Amino acid sequence: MFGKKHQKIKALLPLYGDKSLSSEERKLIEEHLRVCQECQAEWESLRWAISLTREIPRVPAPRSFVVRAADLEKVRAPVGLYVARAFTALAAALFIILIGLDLLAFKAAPIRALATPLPPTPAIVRTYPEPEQKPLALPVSPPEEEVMTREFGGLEEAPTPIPAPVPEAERRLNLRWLPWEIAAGFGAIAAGLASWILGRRR
Amino acid sequence: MFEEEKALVEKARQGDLAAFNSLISAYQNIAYNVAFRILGNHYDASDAVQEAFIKAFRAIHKFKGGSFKVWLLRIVTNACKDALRASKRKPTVPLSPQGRELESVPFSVNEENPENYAERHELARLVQEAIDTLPFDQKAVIVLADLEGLDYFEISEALGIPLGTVKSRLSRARAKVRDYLLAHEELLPSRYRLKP
Repeated sequence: MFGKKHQKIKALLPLYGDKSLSSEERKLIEEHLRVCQECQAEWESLRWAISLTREIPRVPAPRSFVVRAADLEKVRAPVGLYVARAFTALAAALFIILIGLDLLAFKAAPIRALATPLPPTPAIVRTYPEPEQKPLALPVSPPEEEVMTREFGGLEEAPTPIPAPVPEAERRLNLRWLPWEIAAGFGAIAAGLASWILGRRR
Repeated sequence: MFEEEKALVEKARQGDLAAFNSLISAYQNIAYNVAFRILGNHYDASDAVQEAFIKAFRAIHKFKGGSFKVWLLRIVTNACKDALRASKRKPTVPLSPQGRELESVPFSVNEENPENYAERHELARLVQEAIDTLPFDQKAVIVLADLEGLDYFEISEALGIPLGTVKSRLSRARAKVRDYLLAHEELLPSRYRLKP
């Protein structure tokens, strides 16, 4: 019958008797209560429950709670907790430094041939030989500059052709300290867990 | 009174433990009652109040004026919240609901006749059971509003929540307590029933 207004008043009803309720809200409730029997019954039961709650006796404090100087001395945490916390911080810092160094090296490095496609394998050459082609022969020794380029790029076999410049997108991140990074990461997690467990025991 | 309190606060801020103890002696009963109603038992309430007072002394330099009582109650309710969290982590066997009130309200301090006392004791036990069913947020609001008589603004300050949240939590808490009392009405002495 009253729809949304009824629901709104119903939510406000438990606060009806409070002095802190705004005069608009109180007026709204009063007007609604005059015409809604359901809310009248609801308010009766709420008023009853609130008055019972307010009637329960206060309990006397069983003792004095004054603060003594001895209470203010900090309870010392177990030594293990400090060690575990220090180790967590150390391992986490090491992990971050190593990852950071790898990233810096990646950023600073010139475009390398790390990601160059592998040279064609001899098997492929053997499988599809062109009849009119000349048999494979070792190329003439390239100029010294080209040999340097290939060696820098990590190519091992001399007969392969000089790779074309690699687009930047193909550069790979070389995690030089990967085992240390893994160790530091796991160390930080383990020490963090140990500090958490020791902290909970306090 | 207010001036005296202000002077004590100032001394306590300078590290005067005696001044701080005089300050809290006026509020320790309120603090204990809040903790007892939120936590539901004497042991946890005593620990929470003591812990709260120690924290309050350490943090009194952060008190920026206003109502000291409300500031103290904020620390007490936070200590209760911590105690509830700790009890969830390390559950212990609870005291029987019947034992809690008897333990905390000695007969010697009660001057009414034994029959009335017993009836009020039954009422307190049932209301406490109803409060125990509420989540912490609603417990804190109903205890501060209906048992300690704080207004919405004070509750908002004590719990660090907006005024609208105080109202909605209080509304829900009262409705739930009403539902619990109605469902267990037969356990109430006849004079406390809705329809005696």
